[in-house]
Amino acid sequence: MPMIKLTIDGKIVQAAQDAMILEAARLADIKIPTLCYLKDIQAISVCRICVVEVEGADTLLAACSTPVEEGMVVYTQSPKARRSRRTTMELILSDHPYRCPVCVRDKHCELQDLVKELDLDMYHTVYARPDFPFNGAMSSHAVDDSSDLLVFDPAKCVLCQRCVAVCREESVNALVMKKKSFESVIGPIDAAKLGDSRCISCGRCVLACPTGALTTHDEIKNKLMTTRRRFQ
Amino acid sequence: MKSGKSDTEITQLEANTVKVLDTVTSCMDFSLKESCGKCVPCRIGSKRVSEIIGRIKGGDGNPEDIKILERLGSYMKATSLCPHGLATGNTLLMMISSFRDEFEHQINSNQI
Repeated sequence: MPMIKLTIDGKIVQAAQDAMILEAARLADIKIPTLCYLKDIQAISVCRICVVEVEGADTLLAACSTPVEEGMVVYTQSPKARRSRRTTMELILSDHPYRCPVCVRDKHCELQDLVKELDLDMYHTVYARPDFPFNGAMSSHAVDDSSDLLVFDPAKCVLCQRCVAVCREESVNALVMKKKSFESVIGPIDAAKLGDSRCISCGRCVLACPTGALTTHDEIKNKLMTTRRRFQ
Repeated sequence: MKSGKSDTEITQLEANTVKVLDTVTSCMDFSLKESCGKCVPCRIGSKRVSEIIGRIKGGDGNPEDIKILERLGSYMKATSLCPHGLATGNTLLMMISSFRDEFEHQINSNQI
């Protein structure tokens, strides 16, 4: 495999020809925050958290799905990229209810970790800020607890589609993204409710979910599944 | 202000205000409707833009809103996944830079 050279944050990095910027950066110990990325399973660049600035590109590029090129110059912590990540997170939080203290995934939530990593504070700098610019309507879909195992709360869902990717990888193909625009919601492909669908209750989507959107009826299972080792 | 000229001017300005804001509203509502909902900038960004413009049009706008719209516009232009979000941001920024006085007029005319 021929190797190529690129510069990330002033550091000259060697990477395989078909590698993505994110993989090259991780090999060189440069950290880029991610949300929807699952190594070897999903790199669809929908969360826009991993955006980086590349010299010569007009827009910011998602590190998880942009292939490396010879002589590429990448800035992962440029003001433009950092500002963009923070705005993305603020927009996600503007459509995410503040129920952290009573959420099953509190303290083990990837969204909370990411908020901390981006120098934001879930409560003090977003929800309680009087001049928070993105206050507005939140999506309203009913909680689905018809399945024997799963409970799905769409209000907490950030639509990263990680559950869809692992469901596809498991060859079950039960979950898809339904509707469009602000009304988008994750749901079973062949029925209105999870209980009537082809879902086999394997629980992989619960492990993959970064927030408390997908949980189980059983409290002990919840504790085991939400405090597990991280996917990424 | 009873003179014919002033009345005409004022009427004309009001007509223009309504027209520009109507155009922006329909553009942004269309963008929101056509968004596929995959990426955050387009899904939530378009929704917030529509809400803020609706607020300005309904008479509840405040001067900070133009800054927020500009911030969202340039954010969507730079970060969106596909050219739909880029075009939405671009349209919004162009509308604001060309008709800034109309936006300000609409906001100020409703300030107490």
